[in-house]
Amino acid sequence: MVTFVIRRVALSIPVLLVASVLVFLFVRATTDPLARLAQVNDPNAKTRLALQIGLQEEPCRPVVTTGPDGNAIEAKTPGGQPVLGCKKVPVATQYARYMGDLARRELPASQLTGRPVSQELRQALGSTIQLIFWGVLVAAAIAIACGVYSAVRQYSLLDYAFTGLTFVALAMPPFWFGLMAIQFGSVYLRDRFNLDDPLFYSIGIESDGPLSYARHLALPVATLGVQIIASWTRFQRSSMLDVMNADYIRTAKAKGLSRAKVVLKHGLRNGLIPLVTVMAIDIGSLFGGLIITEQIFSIPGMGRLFFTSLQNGDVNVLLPWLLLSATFVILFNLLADVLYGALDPRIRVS
Amino acid sequence: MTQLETQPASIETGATAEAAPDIGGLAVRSQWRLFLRRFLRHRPAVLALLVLLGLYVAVLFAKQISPYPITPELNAETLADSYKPPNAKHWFGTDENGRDVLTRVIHAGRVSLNVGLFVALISGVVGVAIGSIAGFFGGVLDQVLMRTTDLFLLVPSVAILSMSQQGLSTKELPVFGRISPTVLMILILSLLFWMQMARVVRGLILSLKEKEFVDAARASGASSFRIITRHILPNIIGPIAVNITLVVGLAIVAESTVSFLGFGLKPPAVSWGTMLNNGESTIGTPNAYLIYFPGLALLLTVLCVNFLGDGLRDAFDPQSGKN
Repeated sequence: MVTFVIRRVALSIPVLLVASVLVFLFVRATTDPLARLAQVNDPNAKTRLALQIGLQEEPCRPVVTTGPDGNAIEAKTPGGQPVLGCKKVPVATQYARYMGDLARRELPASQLTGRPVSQELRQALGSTIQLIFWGVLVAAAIAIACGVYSAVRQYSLLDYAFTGLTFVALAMPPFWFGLMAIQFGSVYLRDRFNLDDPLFYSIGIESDGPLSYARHLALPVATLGVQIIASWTRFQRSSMLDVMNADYIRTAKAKGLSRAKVVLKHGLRNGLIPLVTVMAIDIGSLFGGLIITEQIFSIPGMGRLFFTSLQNGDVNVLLPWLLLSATFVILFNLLADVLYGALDPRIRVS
Repeated sequence: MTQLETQPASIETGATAEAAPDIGGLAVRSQWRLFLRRFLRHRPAVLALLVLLGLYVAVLFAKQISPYPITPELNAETLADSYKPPNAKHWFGTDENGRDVLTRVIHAGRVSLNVGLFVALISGVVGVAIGSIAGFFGGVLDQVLMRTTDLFLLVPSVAILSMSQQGLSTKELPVFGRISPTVLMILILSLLFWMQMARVVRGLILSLKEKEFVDAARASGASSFRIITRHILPNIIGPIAVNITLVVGLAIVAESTVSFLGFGLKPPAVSWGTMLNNGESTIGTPNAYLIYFPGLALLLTVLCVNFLGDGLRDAFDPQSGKN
């Protein structure tokens, strides 16, 4: 088992490195770190910023252009200063230096707030982790219950109902579900029953006490849940069906075990293994995948951080944000592999 | 499927025979006819297909069908008509500028459906081509392809899409020059969605290329290209079609999501996503009907596409729907 884990960890390191190169190139290609100086008339302001964030480096020389009469003249800024031109830093060097900064924990601060990027990300992660924790807990409970019931009572009325509901949920655009959740879960209920406060809040997760916390989280958790419950239920149903048709289940029934014991002890134990790995993979992608939910419900998490950073062209946050999201996906993929190996010894051998 | 199983003598001819010739009392059915029979028996899928065709015709003739012009003159009269809830004159009501919401939903559908269709076609062609090459020839190419697909899954697609759309739609690009946001959206979505198809096709080809009929084709001198296009691909047309429908739904939702966030298409371009972006501020007011209709249109379309995919899957492969 130890060698199995070590091998998997070693395999994911090159993936992480290649991913970081691609993310770096992607961010350089799609964003312009100097965009917020677009309105500034002084070319030297851009040069100073470029020097500061490492797009250019010394030596800098006054830029010489050809005048209308063919003579070489020094370019001047509107203020009469000579325009400076500096050496451009190749993207490969930029990447190497950025990774060095990352290793020394000296990433450039957020352009929007001026605070260290690590602080921004840590704070955002706090909210996102709460959302993921409750969302996954609720979704897993519902998905396992519905999936197991559907498999044990195949073709029953409830099985058909669950199948129909998963179909609708899979087609549901999460952002629209979120909007409707606010409209009906928050506003409509309050007006219908003349409440002072909405039963379920639609802004943030700041709260006093557990009850208020639950009322804040209910709608975002539901919106998050719609994205995962349907596919998990489907998955649990089919894996449980496979298990319930296995020989050892027939044996368990034949030796006279109670139905509950057959389903829960012999069936569910094995029928959960595939879902656990799928869940691990899905959770990994949730860290960067809640942009919609957090934006709609104004939750100051990773998704909202991405939204405001992109809106303000804050490259200093976008780049580490993408790297962190990718890292979570890789980590949880690794976790899924290891869990699968731990729960099902046959995997380790092959 | 019981009816089919009671006809054990049905012979697969492979070609699309028009009529079913009677050979020695055995009903000969072509694959195509079998497929059609099974598909038509899947009621939700047939209904979904009809609804989708209806939607498509509606958006193709958006100008003729819509009750009002898409860009009405903004004057005192239309502005006085603003925020009218659904009524006999405006079935879906009017927005803050007095524009008819039904008209806008139909015109927006044009963008959404086009994005879905084009992304599915482009990513389908690319995915089938790359998946075939990787699966058939294997080796380094296969490794590179599979590792690349893994990498694409690492970064959230909404983030990739938003950043590309935000950064590239205002830039002069090499080769392409400046491209419209809609075309850019289609290109980037295709780039994001070809991998699933490539994986599926690769997997199927890996198992099919060991079959005897491939050996037979090779022995009779067929080129690799011919083997892939004439012998292998017709055998996996089912999974390919199902995957294409899947991508249609994913692409439509992705486009509307990013446009809703405000990073995708922007007014005056109108898609269901931009309409919802526009209507978000009406939540909690009596004008919240503005968010109902574009969302319902979105849900209906994706639901139909998924049902269609389900029907295709069952029709191509009767064994698949058993669970």
